[in-house]
Amino acid sequence: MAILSALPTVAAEEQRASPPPTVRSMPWLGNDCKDPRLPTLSGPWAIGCKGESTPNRAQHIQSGQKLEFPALGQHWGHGAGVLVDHSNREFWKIGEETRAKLYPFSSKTHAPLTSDGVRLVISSQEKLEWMDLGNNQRFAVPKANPAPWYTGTISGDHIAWIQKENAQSSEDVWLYSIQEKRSWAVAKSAENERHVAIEGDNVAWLTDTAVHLFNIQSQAHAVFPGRVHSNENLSLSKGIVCWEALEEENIDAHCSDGLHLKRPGDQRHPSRWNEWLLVHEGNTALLIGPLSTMSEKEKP
Amino acid sequence: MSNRPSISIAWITLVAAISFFALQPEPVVSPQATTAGLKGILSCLFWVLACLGCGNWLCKDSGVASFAFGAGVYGLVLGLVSMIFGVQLLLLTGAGVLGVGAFFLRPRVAISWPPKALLVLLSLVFLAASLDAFSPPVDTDEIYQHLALPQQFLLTGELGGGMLQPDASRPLPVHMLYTATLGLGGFTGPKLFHLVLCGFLILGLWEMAERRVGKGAGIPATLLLIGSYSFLREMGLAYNNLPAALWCLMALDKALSDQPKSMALFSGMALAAKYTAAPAIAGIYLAWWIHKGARALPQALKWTALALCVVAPWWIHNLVVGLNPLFPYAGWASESTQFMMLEKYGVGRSSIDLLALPWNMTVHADPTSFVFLGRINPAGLLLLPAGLLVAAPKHRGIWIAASVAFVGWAMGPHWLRYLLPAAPLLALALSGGFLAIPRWTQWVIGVGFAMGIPSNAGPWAKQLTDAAPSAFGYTSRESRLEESIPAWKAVQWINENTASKEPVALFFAWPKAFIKRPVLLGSVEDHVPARVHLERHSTQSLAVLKKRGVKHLLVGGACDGCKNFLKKSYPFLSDQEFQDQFRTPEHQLSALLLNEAAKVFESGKYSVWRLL
Repeated sequence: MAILSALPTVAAEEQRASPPPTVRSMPWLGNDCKDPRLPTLSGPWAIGCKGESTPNRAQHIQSGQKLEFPALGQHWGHGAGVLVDHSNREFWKIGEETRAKLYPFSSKTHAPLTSDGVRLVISSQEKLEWMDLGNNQRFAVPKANPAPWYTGTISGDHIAWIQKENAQSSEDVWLYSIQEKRSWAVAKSAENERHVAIEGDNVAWLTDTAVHLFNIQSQAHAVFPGRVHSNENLSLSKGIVCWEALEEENIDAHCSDGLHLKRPGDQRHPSRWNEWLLVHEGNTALLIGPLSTMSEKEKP
Repeated sequence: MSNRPSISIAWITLVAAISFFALQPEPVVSPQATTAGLKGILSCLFWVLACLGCGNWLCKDSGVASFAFGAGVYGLVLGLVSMIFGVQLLLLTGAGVLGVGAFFLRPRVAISWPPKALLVLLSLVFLAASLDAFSPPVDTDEIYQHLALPQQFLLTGELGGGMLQPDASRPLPVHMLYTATLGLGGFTGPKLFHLVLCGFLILGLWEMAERRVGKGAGIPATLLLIGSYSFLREMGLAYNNLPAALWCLMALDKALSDQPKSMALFSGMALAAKYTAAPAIAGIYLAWWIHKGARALPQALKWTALALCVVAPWWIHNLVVGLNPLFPYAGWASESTQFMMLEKYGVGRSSIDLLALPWNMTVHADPTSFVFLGRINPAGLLLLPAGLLVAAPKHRGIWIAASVAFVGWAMGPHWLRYLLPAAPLLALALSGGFLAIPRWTQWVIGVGFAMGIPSNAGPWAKQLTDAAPSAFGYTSRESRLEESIPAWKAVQWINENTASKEPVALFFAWPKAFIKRPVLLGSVEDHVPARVHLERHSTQSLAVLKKRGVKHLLVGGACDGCKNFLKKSYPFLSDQEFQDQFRTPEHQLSALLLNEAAKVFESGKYSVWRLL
């Protein structure tokens, strides 16, 4: 766990300012979303759907403010509290009235769009592109051959994606530095590395038997073994990665800071933002936090 | 006009034509559609000639009966060859060459053509149906069975069958013909072959109605079929109901001519094409037996045995792989999974409902719901009283066969598609009624027929307009498939990301025809194969597949909020019964996937899973 200590954590001041920990049910976010990503956290907002298959509502996790909006189109993405709707050619910061124009692109996407709130990643067959939100110029990531369905992710200068060289090759994790204009394999093995997430200098991915957390600067590499093949994405915030793992009796949520959310039933699709964790339990979304103020005993 | 200007005009016209076709941005018919179409036409032509040649060589008839006989013989022979030597396109085509050679040695095609007005109408209907044939297959039955089986046979080189390939464990003569035509001409080949077969069926019906029922009966008989949606929708598709109908019609003709050997052979061909032809065949045998008298019972038994000989190779094939010989779904060690729920179709099965069936099936049928799942022209219902009261005594044989066929169908699922093998028999019987009524009443029938056209031709026209752009090549075949096949992206993932020899298992998913890998399980009726597999193997369901070399699964409905079955389709089941029959296997599979597989792709309701 020495590696983890090198990774950024929530500042002490923030911890002191946080309210006492709670486990809140969030039924308003909807419990019939066909997209397993929903409900999820995007910055300080929990986004969900009600009666639709794409987001049509958001709730601020601290203030409780609720927002309803027309369901996004089929091609949508989010990141850091920004919603991107390619079908309707717009993006906006949740909570703000103004919607900005998203310049259309013709690439036929084969994975969900993702954003870090500043840039957008577009994954299509044999091509991975990025563009600044609000700009019409797109840039292709050289040598990228993104595997379908897996989302490419972006954070600041880095883009991470799952590369599949050809039909028979395994899936690997690749990185691209926008500044340096170079791409390289971070994890390349016979195992299928899948579901990459990036935030700052931290990259997370999983294989069938472990979750990996890697720091680009320090090259520190932490491995968290477990039966984690059922994850459909990973959540990374402040250097802490969260995932679901099959335990003996059910599925629990885990985070790389040692959190093990052990409750009756399955806790699935964890998403984390700072000291807040959102999981799906049955048909309900549960918001848990602030985690940093919770002692081991208090943790649910 | 002098010679020089006319030559100049001809050259200008030619240059303009070439320029138009060469330079226009969107070609009239795309090269892709042209190639697919031409391949299909040549393949179809080859096998039509082969069937005619075989028929001409083996029987005295020519034309419709000859084609029907040749097709039936080929269905059996190609099946036997494939059982013994494996499915090899070269062998199948070689067998076809013999038939084509035989045709050129005895090039007889004697066809009795209908009057010009009817011929023009039929041409238009068949031309429209060809849009279906020239467009890529999107029909559920085509993509899980009628074209999927031939595709799998050619891919694996064997007939397969057994518990993990249950669709291949039925009698398959029609599918052997489709395998041969598909091998040469792609998906268009078998669809066109089916369309030509429908042409022979209509011509045969017209000729037989005129000859056996009376002059003028041919028109109402043929109009009853081409005025019904249930018949129209299958013309340009590769199905097995109408081939069975052709063989039933021929069997009836032979029965009425007292040619029991031919009757038996045609009956066997029809039964092997589709078991739902059984009531029609029983009726035909009964008509022949009544005509011959009670003392002909031993003969009737002898000819029944001959008919069953045509089906027997398929039963033996099933026995060899350990299945119930008659039907792959019979005899499965399954107590709770019911293959077909009779109550699902029609509007009820009480005595009153059965008595009112001719009315209900005409008035309440709906192509978009399980209420008879089709539609027929009301002229049939209008002709029923005249047929029963006047024509039946006069054409006893036809009416006995048609009545038994109808009653037999009424005892089974009330699905109009299952009535198609008997449709020409019913049309013949009812056409007698048309001749027996005064002219003004005939006009009433005509008005009734015309009033039934919008509701019957309308849904078909919708089907054709959806198919037309890809048939002409205006839109690509891929875009048509992507639009119409919900699992298309998952299928593409399988084709692009798995090893070519590695088998793939399908759970709650139909589109087997497009998977270029050996396929296990797949679907039929209410996704019975997957449900039975899960019931039989329980927690070992995926392990069993893994042992067979399966690494990937294509699964329908394994997502939050997705459903493979809707309770409203089964109002006759209690909540608990519905839960046991349908939800339990779904939940069982979800639990197994969670523990033993990783999702590697998802698009809409369909996902691909890699076994761990």
